[in-house]
Amino acid sequence: MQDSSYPPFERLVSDAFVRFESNLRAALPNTAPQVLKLLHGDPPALHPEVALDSRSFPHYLLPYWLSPVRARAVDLEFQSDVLYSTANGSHSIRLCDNIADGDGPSTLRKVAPCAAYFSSEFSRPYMKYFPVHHDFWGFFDKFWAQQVESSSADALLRDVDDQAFLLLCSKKFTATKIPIVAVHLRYEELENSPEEWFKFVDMLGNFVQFNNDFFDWNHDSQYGIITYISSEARRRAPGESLARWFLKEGFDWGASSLRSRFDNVKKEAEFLGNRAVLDWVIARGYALDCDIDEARSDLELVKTFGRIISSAQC
Amino acid sequence: MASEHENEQIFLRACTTNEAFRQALRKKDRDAITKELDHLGIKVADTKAVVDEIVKVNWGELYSLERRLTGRVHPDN
Repeated sequence: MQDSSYPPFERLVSDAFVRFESNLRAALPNTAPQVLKLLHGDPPALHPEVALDSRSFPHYLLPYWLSPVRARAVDLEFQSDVLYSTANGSHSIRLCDNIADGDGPSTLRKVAPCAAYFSSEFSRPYMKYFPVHHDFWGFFDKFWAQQVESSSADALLRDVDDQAFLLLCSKKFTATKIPIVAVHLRYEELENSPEEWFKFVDMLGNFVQFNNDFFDWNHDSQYGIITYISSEARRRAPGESLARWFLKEGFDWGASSLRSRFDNVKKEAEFLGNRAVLDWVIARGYALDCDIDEARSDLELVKTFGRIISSAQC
Repeated sequence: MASEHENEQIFLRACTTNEAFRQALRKKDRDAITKELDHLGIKVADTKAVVDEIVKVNWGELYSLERRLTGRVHPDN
């Protein structure tokens, strides 16, 4: 997955994070320390490694990989602006999502207005490159609205079935299509059409959202977050607790479904034919295998404890 | 008397919320494990025999389980 273009990407994303943090602190001097602490810990950890981590959604990487190699080195201002915009967009989405889900400390709600700042900083960099009537803004409006709609609709769902998951929950990464379309409109003669990249984003979103719901099953349950996993538990084992179903059969069912969704991502990456994307997908596959094996061992510990105590109670 | 599944759920809850329980297992501290089993309301005929079985288990992986149970395990998305 490492190629000669990686060091510049790391520098670009690192610079974008520095710009993000310093602009935020300058614009919102009283709130910035709180929002950074709430989203990134104390002291805030905004490291470029997050952008490169194979377990993160590659919203920073995809537009970069799509860009012609030469442009990555010479069109630095545009590349940097795309990353800065993405940093703000992802913060807007994450802040709103966490508040909507009640996921995190109650003080998070108090910094909700910061989402408006992140949202304006998300769109601002593109104004330099695309005049107000440019086709870009039609795509921007459409994908941003889809992102907002899917996140809100997902939070309102009281039950998630396969259809709702496909149409709403898995579309929570749609905003990634905005920097992708920006790159397409900026550079000419790219190998794949935007639609092919959008399809990859949709397929990846489906896998990543299921992955999040699957591995966060206990966390989400504690926060009362309704997911495909908790809904499936109610359907498949009515009257049983989520934990009981998950230990008994939910883990195996989920792991199998997760692998099948990942296979679809891999097929789409092979179709796309972009070497960097394919390498990332292969690395993601290794990470998935590790996560499933580790989670299986974790659950074995739970079963072991249950067995020891029960045999002593007989 | 609790079923195996009920005991699993007691364990899950304790791993999620009870640091003293996690520490007792990790350190294989017999006294602390005995105390925590009592706190959890687990009644067994021969506590010593149960603790003997518990300390045979490799609880090193409890860190991974704890991480999975108490927080989001994926990076920012």
